[in-house]
Amino acid sequence: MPLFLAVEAQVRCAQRGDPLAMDALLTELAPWVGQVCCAIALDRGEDAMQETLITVLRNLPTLREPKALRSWVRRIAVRESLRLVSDHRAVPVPDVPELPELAADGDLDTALDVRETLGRLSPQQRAVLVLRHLEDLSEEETAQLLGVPEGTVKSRLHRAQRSFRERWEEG
Amino acid sequence: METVGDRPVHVIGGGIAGLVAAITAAEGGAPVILHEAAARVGGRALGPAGRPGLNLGPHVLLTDGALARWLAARDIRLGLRLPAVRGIRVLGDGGDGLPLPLVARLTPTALPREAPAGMSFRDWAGQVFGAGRASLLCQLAGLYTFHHDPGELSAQFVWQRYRRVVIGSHRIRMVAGGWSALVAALAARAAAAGVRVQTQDTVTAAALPGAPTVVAIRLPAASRLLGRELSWPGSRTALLDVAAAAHPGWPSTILDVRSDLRTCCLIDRVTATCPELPGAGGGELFQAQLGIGPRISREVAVTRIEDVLDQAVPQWRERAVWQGSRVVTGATGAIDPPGTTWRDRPGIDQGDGLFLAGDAVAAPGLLSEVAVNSGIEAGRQALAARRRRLLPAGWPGADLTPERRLAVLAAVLPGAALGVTPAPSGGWPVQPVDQTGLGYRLTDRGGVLRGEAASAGPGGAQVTTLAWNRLPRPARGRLNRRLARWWGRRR
Repeated sequence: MPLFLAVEAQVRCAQRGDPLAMDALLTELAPWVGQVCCAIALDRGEDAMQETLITVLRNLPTLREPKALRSWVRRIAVRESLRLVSDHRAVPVPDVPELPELAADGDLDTALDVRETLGRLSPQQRAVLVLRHLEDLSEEETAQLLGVPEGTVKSRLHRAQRSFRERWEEG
Repeated sequence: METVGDRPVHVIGGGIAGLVAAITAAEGGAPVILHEAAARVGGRALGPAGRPGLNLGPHVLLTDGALARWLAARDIRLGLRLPAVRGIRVLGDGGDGLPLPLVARLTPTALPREAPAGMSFRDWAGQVFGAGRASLLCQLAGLYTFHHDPGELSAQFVWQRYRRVVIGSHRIRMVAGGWSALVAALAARAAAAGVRVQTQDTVTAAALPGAPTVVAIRLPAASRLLGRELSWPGSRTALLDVAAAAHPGWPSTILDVRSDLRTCCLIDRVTATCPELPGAGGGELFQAQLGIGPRISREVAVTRIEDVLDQAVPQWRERAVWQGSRVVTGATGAIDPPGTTWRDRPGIDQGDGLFLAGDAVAAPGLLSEVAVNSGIEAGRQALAARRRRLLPAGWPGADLTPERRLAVLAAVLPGAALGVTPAPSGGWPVQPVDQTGLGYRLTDRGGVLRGEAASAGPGGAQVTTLAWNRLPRPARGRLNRRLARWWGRRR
């Protein structure tokens, strides 16, 4: 998996409480954490990202092996995102008000389409989709991270992919 | 749905920018293929073949710069040497002398101030420091712009570089072994990170590798390869290297500011700081630079540089064993004319999964730092593009906004205080995108951390201020709150 060699020295400095190293670490992690959080927490993605980064920096001294940073942060990001959306069960399905022509292939429409499709999946399905396809984890690793049996991952993924593909192709 | 899997990031060009981009992408977990047309990586950072360790023209590194920080974060250690401060000679109209009078004349420039991008440096410096001092400042700018008339460039561009190179000259270091040592360290790092380097692999427009691809070659070549207009002004510079048998009492650095030039001529005896340079062959090595106009021939420029040697280096002609000269155009980094900043240069994201890196693209920094900054950014963007590639367009994502960033730091640093004040009318108090390219400023001076971010708030523009210090507990919180308020008001 990713080497993240670069960040090792930064992580050690940040663990000792150097604020500039913490800041550099934020720069390094933010775009990636943003993608993971937004895909799972949708509208609350930015909040999930902020919570994730705060948790990461607060607990950084407990990270023994800087090499494991990425998988450690990933676990926190998924947990925080799921926590935020399950606190607000009403949020994940965004309202897409009166779109004139859904078939148009403009960028804005495409973006709304993806959001809408993601919004119709459950947060857990989105988490599986993100871990398998954005993060490139195996089914076993995904199951381990989410704390569910491998069979559950398989079925969730299957359903997520099918509904994603159907809705995607329909649009 | 397929996964991102083994889809590689391609990097074209193995100079400093290409190597940095390749290492960044590889460290992010992508397989990387680096295509280098020559037989070895290094590009312009390597000198002429046959004289190892030798570059045409002087090369330095600044310890507060992107290159130094990037190397430090990876624990890549190069032998860094302080420049020889003894033996600096200044050649003025009155003859050859010590640098003290020149330094004394520069005293009023030590205070920090901002220069506008819309004016020429000559006009601005004339208004601020008076015509005489301004013309000296214009000449000195030849040191870091390699231009024949730096006074014509943007005031902001020249002033920022003056502050770093001349006022911050205590941060200048020479790399032991020359820039070949830097290239070797970068190549070793690339190998350790798993970059596949393919030398003698020329990429043509007909056979561009698949996206994402980082194009890290010079702008004219990138322009031809991508079939689109990419250009930015650069300098034309004469470079002269002279190897000579050692002689006691030679100066370490000669700065020629005689008034027939609108720039200066710098001659550096590199062996004064790096005596073991292999290319020097056990003797002394002088490296000279002189910015020249478009109509000046190489012979005229070389004669002018040799005249400086005649004035300040006794017996150099008898002792010279080798001499090489070259005129380079657009090879010494980007220069910004008045009315432009680095943001106006050809952008890193060229669309279609193509990213530019190099020393003349839109990235902050000084000379080679532009190559490093753009290499890091291009590598990051290529990584992100690789992730996005197999996901539908419009997949959601979020940026860490500057004020959220400060909020995160405030939540983590014990006792930190965060203040929000409305921005005064008449523009942004903190440039929305500042020197770091991130839209915020964060400084740590003597254990006191100060952060500022400008953003659009509910009631118009606002400034978020973060204050934190390392004092013992009871005093800490109070002081931080007071500092945050005070900094916010003062803006």
